[in-house]
Amino acid sequence: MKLNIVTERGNREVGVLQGISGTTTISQLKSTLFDIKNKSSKFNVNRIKLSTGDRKSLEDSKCVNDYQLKENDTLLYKDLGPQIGWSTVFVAEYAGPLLLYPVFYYFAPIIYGLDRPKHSIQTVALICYSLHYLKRILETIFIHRFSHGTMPLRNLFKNCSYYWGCTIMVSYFVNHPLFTAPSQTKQLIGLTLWAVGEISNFICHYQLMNLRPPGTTERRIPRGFLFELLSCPNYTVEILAWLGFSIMTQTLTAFVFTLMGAAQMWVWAVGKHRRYRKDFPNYPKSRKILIPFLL
Amino acid sequence: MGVVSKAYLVLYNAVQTIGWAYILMKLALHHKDGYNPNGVWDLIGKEVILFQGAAVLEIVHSLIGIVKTPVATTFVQVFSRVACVFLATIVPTTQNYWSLTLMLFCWSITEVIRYSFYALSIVNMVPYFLGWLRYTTFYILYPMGVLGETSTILASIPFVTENKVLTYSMPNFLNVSFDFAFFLKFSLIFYVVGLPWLYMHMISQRKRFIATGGNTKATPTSQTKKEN
Ligand SMILES: NC(=O)c1ccc[n+]([C@@H]2O[C@H](COP(=O)([O-])OP(=O)(O)OC[C@H]3O[C@@H](n4cnc5c(N)ncnc54)[C@H](OP(=O)(O)O)[C@@H]3O)[C@@H](O)[C@H]2O)c1
Repeated sequence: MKLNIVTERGNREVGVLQGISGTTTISQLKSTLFDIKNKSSKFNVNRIKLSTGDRKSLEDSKCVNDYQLKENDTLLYKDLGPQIGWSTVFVAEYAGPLLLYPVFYYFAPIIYGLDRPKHSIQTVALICYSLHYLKRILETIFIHRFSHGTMPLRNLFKNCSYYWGCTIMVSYFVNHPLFTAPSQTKQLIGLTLWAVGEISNFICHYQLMNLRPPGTTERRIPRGFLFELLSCPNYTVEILAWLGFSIMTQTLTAFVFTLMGAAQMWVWAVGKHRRYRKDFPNYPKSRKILIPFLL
Repeated sequence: MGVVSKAYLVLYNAVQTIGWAYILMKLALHHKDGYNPNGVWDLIGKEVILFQGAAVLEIVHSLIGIVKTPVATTFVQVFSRVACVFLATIVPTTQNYWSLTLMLFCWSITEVIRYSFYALSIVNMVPYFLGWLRYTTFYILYPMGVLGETSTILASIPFVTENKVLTYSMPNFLNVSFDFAFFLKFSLIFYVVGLPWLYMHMISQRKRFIATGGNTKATPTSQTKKEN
């Protein structure tokens, strides 16, 4: 069969793909298209986005039949711009916090012009913060099996400014020589919450890893542990961990960071929950999005 | 766009045009015998507070969707202006400073052109010359305006530091502090980044204007085009 490709903006013709069958994958379509385009420019196959009328990106692993494409149908083409490796972005955005946070702890006399003995909770906070991002980097490299190879280069700048900026805002105040420690009870509650959150978060990520055979982009219904209650428990416990960190340090900027993260994760979780329900007819009806039994 | 919102927008932009024209006139008369920054704020401060303050409505316009400009863009524009007005109100050392005069001259000329352009474009009656002014004067007025604003901010810093204006320090139970002087210095970075960006944006708008012979079908939104 034959498919026409035109640009998403302006409907200019890009090319005609011939000899396609129902089992041709989207990623094969892209490579063919890439060969056509490549004669005229320096395009990278990862920069190509294909979509139908609704402009939702077609998934690389799906095939022509999955989208019920017919003879002489038209696909929309968009150049997504320069790309960068998916894991590279994560490692870069997490490396910043790992390197920046300790600067305020170790160079306090220079930064604040004041030299005071450290409160033990400030040291605990340093360890927690660093462990969290070390864990995230290791998970990115060894645990997560991502379905995307690349993302737009500008995400690197966006994500790095967010995580690096937030780290400076949190670390500046937590390591301040005039820091006031909360009561011991709050410290203990916070630290416990943090530890429970981090461990559960790791368990969730481990479960997600086992859903997908290495090298594939398969998606399945997660089962067991917190997934019995929620669609995105990894987000719930991540928020819990940050709430714990905020309570134990009682620092406004940490609470703000927790809140911003929670808002972002809520938006993503709603999307993922919807997608599960749409893609899996047998998806457990009782599962909530982020808050057990409620939402 | 409905008739009511159209009528309202024409009215709003017309009122702003008159307001800024009045400010510009007073400012010009004040300088009729030559350059004189003394007493400028006493003379037109109230009017500037009133009309620049009213521009907060533009955020509402974006929010409820009667103009297509993205809320974030409007917010940044209005916020930086309101912040400068606020600074001039609370920091006496800026009130007779040369940069305040420069800033207000740039603002009022820009606004008379911009608001009258908007008001007339809603009813499709923009004379070519006005459009041309809208897309040409920025070459000089934007950099001069930024020079005026940044110099005013710089001039306010010693006073803010000395009097601990809006400054909240540690220790306190939420482990937070706010250093207004630092915030002001930090905000200068945004001018350095923002001006070239805005300049390039206006240059491309100008190209479009010239290319279409002034028939850009300009609406109050054409001021900023949403990139995707
Ligand atoms: N503090 C903050 O502000 C903040 C914000 C967001 C996230 N985070 C942290 O970052 C972590 C990762 O975030 P994320 O948004 O990338 O999480 P995610 O979408 O849940 O993905 C985690 C990994 O599991 C895979 N996966 C998800 N659902 C799957 C399924 N049904 N079947 C097979 N594989 C599946 C994903 O593959 P795909 O590549 O196919 O998605 C990805 O490799 C979060 O759990 C949280 O700890 C922190």
